[in-house]
Amino acid sequence: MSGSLRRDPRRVADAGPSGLRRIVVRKRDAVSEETADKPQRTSETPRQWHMAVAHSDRGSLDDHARQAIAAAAILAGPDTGVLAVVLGELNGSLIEAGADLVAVLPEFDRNSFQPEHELAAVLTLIESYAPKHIFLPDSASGDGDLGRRLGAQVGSTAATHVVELDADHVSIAWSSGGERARAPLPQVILLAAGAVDLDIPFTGAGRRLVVADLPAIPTVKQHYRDLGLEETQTAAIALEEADFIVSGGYGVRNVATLEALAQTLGAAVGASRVAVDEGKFPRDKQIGATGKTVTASAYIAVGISGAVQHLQGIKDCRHVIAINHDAGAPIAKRADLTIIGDAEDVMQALIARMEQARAQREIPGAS
Amino acid sequence: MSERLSVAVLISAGQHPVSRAPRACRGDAVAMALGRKLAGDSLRVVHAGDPKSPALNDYHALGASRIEVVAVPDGQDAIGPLAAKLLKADVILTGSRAEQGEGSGLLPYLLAHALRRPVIADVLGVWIEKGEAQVRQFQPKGRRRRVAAPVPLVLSVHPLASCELTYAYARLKSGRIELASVVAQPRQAIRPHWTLEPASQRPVPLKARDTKDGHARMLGYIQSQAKGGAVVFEGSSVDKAQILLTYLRDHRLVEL
Repeated sequence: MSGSLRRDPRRVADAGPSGLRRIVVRKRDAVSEETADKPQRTSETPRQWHMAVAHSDRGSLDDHARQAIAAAAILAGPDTGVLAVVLGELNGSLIEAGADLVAVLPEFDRNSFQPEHELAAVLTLIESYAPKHIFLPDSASGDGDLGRRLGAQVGSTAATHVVELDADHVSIAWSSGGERARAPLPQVILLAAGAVDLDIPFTGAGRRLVVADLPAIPTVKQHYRDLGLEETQTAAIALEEADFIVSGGYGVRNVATLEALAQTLGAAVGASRVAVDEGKFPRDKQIGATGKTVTASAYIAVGISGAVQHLQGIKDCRHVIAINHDAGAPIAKRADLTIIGDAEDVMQALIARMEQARAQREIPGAS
Repeated sequence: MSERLSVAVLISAGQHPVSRAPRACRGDAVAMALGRKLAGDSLRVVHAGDPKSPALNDYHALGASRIEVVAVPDGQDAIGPLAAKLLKADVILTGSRAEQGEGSGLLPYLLAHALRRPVIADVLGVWIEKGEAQVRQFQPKGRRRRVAAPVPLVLSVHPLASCELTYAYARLKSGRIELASVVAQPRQAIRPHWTLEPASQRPVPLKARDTKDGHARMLGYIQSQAKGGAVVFEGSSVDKAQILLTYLRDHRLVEL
């Protein structure tokens, strides 16, 4: 079977709107198509495994980590299961991501540095599942480090910064670009961001391993001492690096309120082109096609309609919240939460509410 | 304490990304500058590879008066000879990745594994006190972490580590290269077998095979994906602020 449908030219056809004869490949009702759930990738009992390992961030996996799971699922045959190992807490399931089995190890966190424990835990899982390939996102927040430790430890082949892969090969940029090198799939594969399309037409079984199912992790002597993260002034961080951004546009009348809100939330301040052109913000705060491209986890757009050029700049932001007068503004299509109302009032109320919540938390004994 | 400490830095032959001209690898030059901060002139500068590489001149100019070269032929495993050479070094500094060849950033890990030492990556600064190295480590999103580990150890330096690189032609002329004998070592790491090809087109992202029929595919093209989240119209501004705050809290974006 080639996979493509053979069409019978003499079959019954519908009449199109202009009276033309229209052939429909397979007739079905439109409703079921909309809500049709994706099929499960495979129903067979796995005989071998692909493994994806990633740190979670605030209880969920980012796109880069999901790409590692998607790669493991896309390259898995019908008799291969996908085991996702999540280091850190995980809320929700990984069915949509394509994982068949999910091992959550909440004692590890991307904020803490305990590579020897993590390595021991992952090696134990590797021993009990014997995965054919191990996929990790090659990110700076722990996964790239863990993958390289794994590559050195396992004593097998490892490829890093993989920009292209399929069932037969992985490719990397050779000599910092210019040339590309390909090799057969190694055991440990560290994926560069964007090497995998996240849009997968199937789901995984997504069964979560309970603690009893997990193999006992041996205790290892820890050589490293984690002295904690340094306190950083969010306002001092470059906009491209900031994790939380409050951004103002044409709808912001009082810049001082916006800055106060950013201060309260511990966020950096950004702006749209219109607000910068008006002189409300300096040019280096501009976010968008002609300004900066940001990758914040949270982006609050205040009084920004969301021109295409601006949306381009916030493409990689995880949670976008809009405060706007106009419900029809394009930002509402992009935002995960849109508050319709007067920007000034909502900002003032939010500052007051935040301060109130902080004050309540400061009472000793209150948890 | 730091006077007696033996610090070594590993350097590699770099290459300009556009002109392909040989040069000092920027990341390794930063590691060398960090090493000079730590050990001054007693810093050992070690290169594994071609002793005649013109890139080594740049390192002379940047402050390496003496470079020990372990002449490992191209394509051969450098981990074994390097590990043998660096047995006595307390602190081994490396750059984050090479500019020529694979540039995988695996070398510090393989070397640390061969020497059975701890390894810390993305180092921005290092202080050594009482046999323990305190390290400032780079983290994305503007965060920095502090980690401590006992000496001896391997550190791979982040290219953003703050240091001064001063280039002096006189140093380039006076620099010396010392050839070290290569002791045959068992192969430590198995590398993938890379074959080179010109990077003529952009890499193709891995995509799952589409099992949808033509009709469903066509619908997918014309139907806009109505993404977009909740829209809040109702309530006073205080209610709206509460909804916003609840969203931030639910996704653990603010800590209260």
